[in-house]
Parts: sequence; structure tokens; C-alpha cells
Amino acid sequence: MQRMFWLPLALLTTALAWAQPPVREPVKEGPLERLVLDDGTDTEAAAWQPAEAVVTVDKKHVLKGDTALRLHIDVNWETGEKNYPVGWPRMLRTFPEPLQAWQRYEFFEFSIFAESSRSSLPAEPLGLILKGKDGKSVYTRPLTELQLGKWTDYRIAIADLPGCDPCTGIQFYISESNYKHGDKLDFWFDNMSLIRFTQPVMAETAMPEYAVLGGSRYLITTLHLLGMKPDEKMELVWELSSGKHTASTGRVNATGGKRRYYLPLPNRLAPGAYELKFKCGDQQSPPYRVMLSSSPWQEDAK
Amino acid sequence: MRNRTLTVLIVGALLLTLCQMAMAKVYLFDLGTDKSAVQNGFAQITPQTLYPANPAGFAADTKLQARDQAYTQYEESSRGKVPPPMWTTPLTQDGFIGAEPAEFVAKVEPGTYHVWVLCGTSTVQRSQVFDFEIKSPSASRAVQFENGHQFRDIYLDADAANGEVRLQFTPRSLFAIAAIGLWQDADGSKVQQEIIAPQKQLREFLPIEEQKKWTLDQRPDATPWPAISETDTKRGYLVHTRHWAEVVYPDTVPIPQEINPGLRAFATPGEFEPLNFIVWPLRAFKGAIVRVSDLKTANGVIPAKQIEIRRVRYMYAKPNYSLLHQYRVVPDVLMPYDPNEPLPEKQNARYWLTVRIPETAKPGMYRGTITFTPAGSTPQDIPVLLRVLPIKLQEDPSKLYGIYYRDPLDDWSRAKDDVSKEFYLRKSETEMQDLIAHGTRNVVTSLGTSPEKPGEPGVFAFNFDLMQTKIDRWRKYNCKFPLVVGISAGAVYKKYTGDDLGSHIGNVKLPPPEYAEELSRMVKAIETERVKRGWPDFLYYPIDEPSSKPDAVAFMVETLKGVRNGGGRTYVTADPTNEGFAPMKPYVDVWCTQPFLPWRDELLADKKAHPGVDYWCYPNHVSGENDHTPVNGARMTYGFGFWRSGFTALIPWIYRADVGDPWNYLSGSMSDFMNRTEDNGRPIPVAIWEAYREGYDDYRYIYTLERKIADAKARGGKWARGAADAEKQLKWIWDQIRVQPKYKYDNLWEPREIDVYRWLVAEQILKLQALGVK
Repeated sequence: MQRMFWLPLALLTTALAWAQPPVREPVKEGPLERLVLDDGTDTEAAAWQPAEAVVTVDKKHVLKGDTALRLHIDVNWETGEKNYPVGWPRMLRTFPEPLQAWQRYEFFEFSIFAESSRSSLPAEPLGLILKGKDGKSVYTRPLTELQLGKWTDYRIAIADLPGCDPCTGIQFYISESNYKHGDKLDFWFDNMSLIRFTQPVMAETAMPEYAVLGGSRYLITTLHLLGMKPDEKMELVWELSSGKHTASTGRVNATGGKRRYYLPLPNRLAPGAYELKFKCGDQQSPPYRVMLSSSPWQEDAK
Repeated sequence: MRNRTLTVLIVGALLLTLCQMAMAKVYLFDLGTDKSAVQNGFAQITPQTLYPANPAGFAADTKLQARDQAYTQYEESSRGKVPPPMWTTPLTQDGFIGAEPAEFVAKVEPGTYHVWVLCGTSTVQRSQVFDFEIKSPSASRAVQFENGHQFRDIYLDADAANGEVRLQFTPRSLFAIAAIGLWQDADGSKVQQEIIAPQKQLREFLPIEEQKKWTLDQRPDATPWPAISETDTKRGYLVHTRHWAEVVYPDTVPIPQEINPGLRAFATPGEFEPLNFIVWPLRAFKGAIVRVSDLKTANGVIPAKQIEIRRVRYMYAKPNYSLLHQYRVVPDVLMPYDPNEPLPEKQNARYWLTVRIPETAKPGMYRGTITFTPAGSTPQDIPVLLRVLPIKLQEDPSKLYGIYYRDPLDDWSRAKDDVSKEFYLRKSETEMQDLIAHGTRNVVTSLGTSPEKPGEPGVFAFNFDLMQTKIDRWRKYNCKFPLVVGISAGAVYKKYTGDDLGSHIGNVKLPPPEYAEELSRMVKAIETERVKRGWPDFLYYPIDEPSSKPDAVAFMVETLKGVRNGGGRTYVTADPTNEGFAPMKPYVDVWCTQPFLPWRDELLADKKAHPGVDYWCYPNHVSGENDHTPVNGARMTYGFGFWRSGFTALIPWIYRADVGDPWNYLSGSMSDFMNRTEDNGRPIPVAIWEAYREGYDDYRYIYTLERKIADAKARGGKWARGAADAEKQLKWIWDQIRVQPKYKYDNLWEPREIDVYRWLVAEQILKLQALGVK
């Protein structure tokens, strides 16, 4: 009798595990197009493959919609895989083909809420792995920013994920060795989606070079321009200023994505603090600090 | 360097072998056993193929050992199936090894011949140097290389006016040969392109079938190309540069402002400073001459001989040391300059120059010129400006730069002949000089032994005299201590349990108490000898990277107790922030972790709470566990990052790791790593190794300023005010550091930005010195 009771349940579980939830259409959100990868529904929860963990749909902590995905782990150093009792409880989602074309998008977003029987989380509480071609791990990131009792938002630039072409899957995991035997952990996941801008946007300008040696002929900057078509160019005007004085200005024909540019600097630029700004039409970047040192090779420095 | 090129070469080789008969004056011989495969188009020569009974062979009384070791399949290992130590072809799988002179004779059409001898063996030849001469009636070549699993192409000419080519092999130790080729002028380029080059490519890359399993994990540089001047187009090349810590791939596009560059650097007396220029050949060149002038200032000269010229060699590398079936083509080894090394069309050729500033160099602006002249084109002068600063850099005595090390003195002790012994002694000297020149003053060592025999407690078979030789050498070079000493805990465990410890003691079981008792006696025996011989302090290193599984931790506790009971201090490569290791804490003297974790404040608090406990770091992410390119991360780790971390020592794995063929990183159970070795035993640096030195120098600038600040503060008055300014600047730099557990690629300062911070530190030193602070 007991066996007969379990059989349909097992069949149902298996069917759910193998059933891929319907793929959503991208939706417009102002200047953004969003493709939701997982919205915490029952069918989506069933598409995850947990190991040494339980994945459910839950309403306790929700950021968008009515439900979120919940990963529950009882840390147990004595069970699990035979050779690795102190192992890696995890959940893996393998994407159907329509969700694999991540390079069409610009960011991967998700948010996580953490709860635990512990009073604080370890230095590396949770990890993210992205899978590329043939299911190989192509990107690993410890999610060190997580805090107990709070939502933590993540936005990862697809430009930094060259191996995700395609992205065939995503995995969240813990390393049990980072926890104590008997710890209880719950992570809620919401807003797991890919986004891209639909119009050219100077939404983010990275400025890796802050300190520059006097006498340098150029300034290195990395621009990350969004919402652009493959061959499209955006003309940016840049200005380097010190107080009200414009020290140098120029134009950059920038292409979409994340690229390095070398802004020419005039010969005799006085050492000191500068500000660098980019403009494009009515868009303007925030000012970036640039510190120009003296030159070690000035003749009077003998 | 690409698959397609290689495939074309291979197919060409096959076609050539099919039409061997058409090449009347080419003679090809595959040496080896009578049972091993023979390369297509080659005639088989076995020890029984005697001359003159056969058209080619050795004399009847020649003593030759035919060796055969094919590597054509993956091998089983603790990590599953792994590539063999090298991939063989029928040509390389077998050959002859000889300890006595031998003569090979081949009947040929009369004339003058070019000779190619493929030297080497696929067999394991541990601690063996092959040193021999190959002589024809008209030429001779000295050959030297160490160990098996590698090959060298040796060329010479031979006169055969009488219809015989005679080649004598005269060993100083042993000779090892696998193939011989003879041809005349007309066939030279064909033999090179279609036989020798494909064999070399296969040795450095992968067999054709194996190539299908591997993918190139690298995107081409899509940066738009800057305009190329008419002058550069006409002469067929352009010259550019990048900061030395930037990784320049074969296809890296130049920065417009760095085309036709001048090279600039600043340094202090006694420092080594890298410079580099890159050539983008618009057509292929057979070679290029690089000449460097003296660097001169009004009252001083840095002679040209102080500037070492090298060229960056691209290697096929795995994305990480054990990952399979993906590869990249990465700049890595800084090869000795060879004017005859070709420059392939449209592939960056980077020349790396290291200036050694003499200790006696006067301060000033030194100027000179590098002249680059490719074969068949016009030269380009590259101006050099080097400022020598009036600063004597100081080293922080509380910090330690060490490294894991495979000591040539171990080979010396194992070597069976005098030539090999002499080679390894020399190698040990040159490597130690190289370590010291890179700021590394400590190495990890070991004292192995078999366990006690029944009825002989406390009696072990240590080679204390070998350890004495090593310690004498380290003292000669002013190494710093304590020494991390590996001991044979695994052998003792096996004695009591019958099992191997396995990788990271993952499957360990708690041994009987006798295990820890014997370990205590082992440590006690070493400590007694250490004290008797006046050796420095040891840190005992029984187990590498233990697992945090409860059984493993329980085993570690017993092991560490055993070491402590023998009177030893303990060294453990484990992360103390990992809660699983908590039971070990009372028994660990030095924690050695891969990242800079625990964070500085936590670490300093723990050191204060537990005097005697220390934290060292083995940053393998910038040493042996990467694709050989985190050069900037390596500098950051060694300099500003180390300063900020609060750790006491850096001790990465490893100075040199050779796995199988040391020139093929894709073969073997894991990648080869870090410095390579010239055939004469001298070390060949890699870019990451040079980055270590630059990081070490960054820290010396910082420490020198810290000392000057302390001195100036102690003097009070205007000096104290100067010290306050300098301290403010140093604090500002401290705050700019983007603190990370691992400095590798992401969120680092730009490579040239680190020079700015170094310069800001130097400026403050100069200001304090101008105030009279010594």
C-alpha cells in the first residue's frame, strides 16, 4: 500500500523535474528589455536540480511578484556524496536553448535574501557558477556580499562573461567546510533575469586609471556603453578639467560593450587633481577623479 | 600557433613521406628497438642494424641501449584520466642511449650533406644529464640537456666525398638519440618544412587526433587597428610598446600613442628594472639584431652589458593547471635573445630588457639607444631614458619572501655520474643567485625517511649531510629562516594502517596512537641533529592542504600533536577561517593560506591574542594555478597587496615545476609552471617571476619610506613636519588600495598606475632625504 502511494508521487516528481517551465517573452521596462529567467513559480522551482538541498517556492521573502525561489540547506558533515561528506550542497538549472543566448543581453541580475541558524555568515557564504558550452563551468564567483536578513542585489555585466556564449546553466552552491555541522541555511532568490538597454545609453563609465604619471601621453579609460547595435557608434565628448579650467578635451567614437580607450593628453599638464567627464547629447557621466603626479623624467628633477 | 597551420604542416609531412622516393638525396633513419613503430618514410635502425652489412648503421662492437616508451594514450591518476608526460610519434617513442663512443655510418651519394640529429628520449631519466658531442669529419656540436621526455634538434654538416656520412657520438655522461636525417642543399627547405617542423610542432602542441578534443579558449583582439605609416609599411614592421605588466598576445593591437616609442623608467642603485618594446612584423623576418648602447649621463655610465635582452615566447597553456581540452596561446617565457629567431608575419614579437643598475651608479638621467634591425630591412632606433634615484632601498626584516622549490641538490645527490653531479651543483648555484636577485630568500625543503624498523625506535634514515649541503648553500646566500621542512608522515601512516594518505588526506582514517608516537620520535631525531649542527629553526610540514572533513581534521590534530611532542613547530597549508579546521587551532604555529585571509584586523588581533602564531600566504593564483598571465596581479600581490595584508610571508608554489616535457604545458597530469631551464642549467625567467621582483621592489620603496618617516619623527622639528607630510601621502596610497583576498585580474590598478604609486613613495623619500634624513 505504501509503495502504491509513493509511486504516483515519484512519477509526478520526476515529471516535474524534467519539465522545463515555459520560456517567457522579454518585456519592456522603460529603457530596458528584461528576460526573466526564473520568477519563483512552481514549475520553475521544479526545473532546478538540487543536491543535498531542497528547492521550493516560498512567500516569506519576496522582492517581485508573489513568490520567490527558496534554497534550504541543513549542513551535514556526515552525509552526502560518499567521498565528500563535507561537500557542496547546490542547485543547478540547465537552460533550454531560448534562454542560452546571454550575449544578446548586457547584464545578468538577481537578488538573494539570506537567513540562518548562525549569527553571521562566513566570508564565502554562497557561490555562483555559470555553465558554458557542453555544461563546462566558465565563471565562478563567491557571493561574499550576502548579509543575513537583507536582500542583496547583483548585477553582473555580460561583457565580463565571455565564456557564457552560450550560457547553458546556472548553479548556486555552498561549501560545507565554510559552515559548522548542523547549521541551517535558507536563501531566497528573486528577480533572476537578463536585461539590455533598447536605446544607446552611457549608463556606466568605468575609470580604471586614477593615478597617472606626469608626462603621460594618454589616459586609459574603459567605457561600457549599452543599448547599441553591433556596428553602431556613439560619439562622446570628454573633458579633463581642473577647477574651472579645462585642461584638455576631445572626442571618442565609441562602440557598444566594454572597451578600453586611450584619451590623448597634452604635453605640459601640471601635476594635480583633475576631473574627467563624458558627454553625449543630453547624457553626462558623473565626474571621475584623475590624479596627475609629477614626472620622474623632468629635466629639473635631476 | 594555430590549429589550421599545424594541420597543413602535418598533412604536408604525410604527403612528403609518401613521395620520399622522389627525394633521391634525402636519407632518414628512425633509431630504436626492432619491435617499436617506425616513422613513415624513415629507415629503421636497431642495435642489430650493423654497418657495413647494411646501407646504414653502427659498428658491430658498439654498446647501445635501445629504449622504447610510447605515450599515445591518457593515463590513470588520482584525478582520473590525464594526458601522458609527453605525446610520442614513432620517431620519438624510441631511440638509443649510450655511455661509450659510437659511430654511425650511412652509405650515400657522394657530396656534402646537412645533418639533423633528433636528440632525446621519451623514457624517464630522473636526475640524469645527457652531455655529448656529435662530430662529423667537417663539424662538431656539443649537446647538453637534462632528463627524459624531451628532445632537441641538432644540426651540423658532413662531408661525404667518399660516399659515406660518418657521425661520431662521444658522451661525457650519456648520449640519447632518436633519429638522423641527411640531405643536400636542394632539399633543405623541404625537409625542414615537411619533416622536422611538423615533428617539432607535435612535440610542442598535441597529436592530430588529440587536437580535435581541444578548443582554443581565446578571443581575437577586436580593437580597431591604428593607421600604419608609409615608412613602417615600406620597411615591413612597426615598433610599439606596452607597460611590461600588460599581457601582449600574438594579435594584441598597438596603442596609437605607443607606436614608435621611447622607453622610460626610474630605479635605484642595485635595482633591476624591466623595459620592453614590441615589433609587429608586416612580413616575416628570418631574424633580427637588437643592440643596446651604454646608458650615459653627464658623470656616469651604465654599460650596455648591464642590460639583458630576452624575447617573450608564446606557449600553449591550459586555462588552469589541471583543466583539460581548452588551451590558450599565452606570452610566458622570457627566452635568451637569439638574433636568428624568426619573426613570423603579423604576430607581436616582444623584446624584454632588464637593466641592472650598478650599486655604484650615480643619480641622474641616463640616456641611450636600442637599435632594432630585422634581417633584410632598415633599423629603428628606440631612445631610452632611465632616471637613477639617490635612494638606497631597504628590506623589511620582519617580512619573508619564500617559495616552494624543487632543489637541484636533490638531483645532485641522486645523479649517478660526475657530469650530471657537476651540472646540478652549477644549476643549484645559478638558481640560488636568481632567487636572491628576485628578493626570494627562503625555500621550502624536506627531510624524507623510511619509518623506523622493528626494534629500532628513534632510528631513521635521514640524509642529514644533504641537508647540511643545502643549509650551507642557503647561508652562503644570506637566506632568511625559519625553514619549512616536509617530513614523511605518509610513510609512517602507511606503516600503521597499510594505506596511502591519498590526495589531501581525503580518505584518511584515524591511525593507532603508535603513529603519532613515531612521528614524535622522528621530529625529535631531526631536532636533535638540528641543534647539534647549529641549523636554523624548522617549521614541520607533515601534510599538504589537508581536507576539512572531520576524519581528516581529527587525523591532523593527532599529527600536529605528534610533531609538537617531538619538540617541533608546525606549519599547515589550510585556511583558518574555514570552521572545519577549528579543532586544529591549538596545534598550529603557522597558518599558510592561499588568499590574504583572514583580513588584516582579524589577523593582527589573533596574533596579539596568540603570541607565536603566524600567518603566511601561498598565492598560487599568481603562481602555479592560472593560465600564466596574471602578471599585474602578481606584482600587486607581492608589493602593495602584501603591505596592506598584514601577512608575514609570501611563499607560492613554485619556482619551477616540470611535468613531463618542460616545453609542453598541455602534456602531463598538470601544467608545467613558472621558470624554465636553459640546456646549460641556467634559469629562464617567466613574466610572472619578473613581476614578483617588481612587487618586492614596490614594498622596499614603501618600507624605506616608513623607516625614513620613523627616523624623521624621532628627530622632531622640521623633520617631524616632513614626516607628517610623508605619512599623509603614504596613508593616502594605503587608502587607494582596492583590498582583495586574491589580487589576480579583476579590480586591480592599471599596470602603469602601480608605477605612479611607487613614484609618489619615491618622491617622499627624496623630500625627507633633502631635509637631511638619512
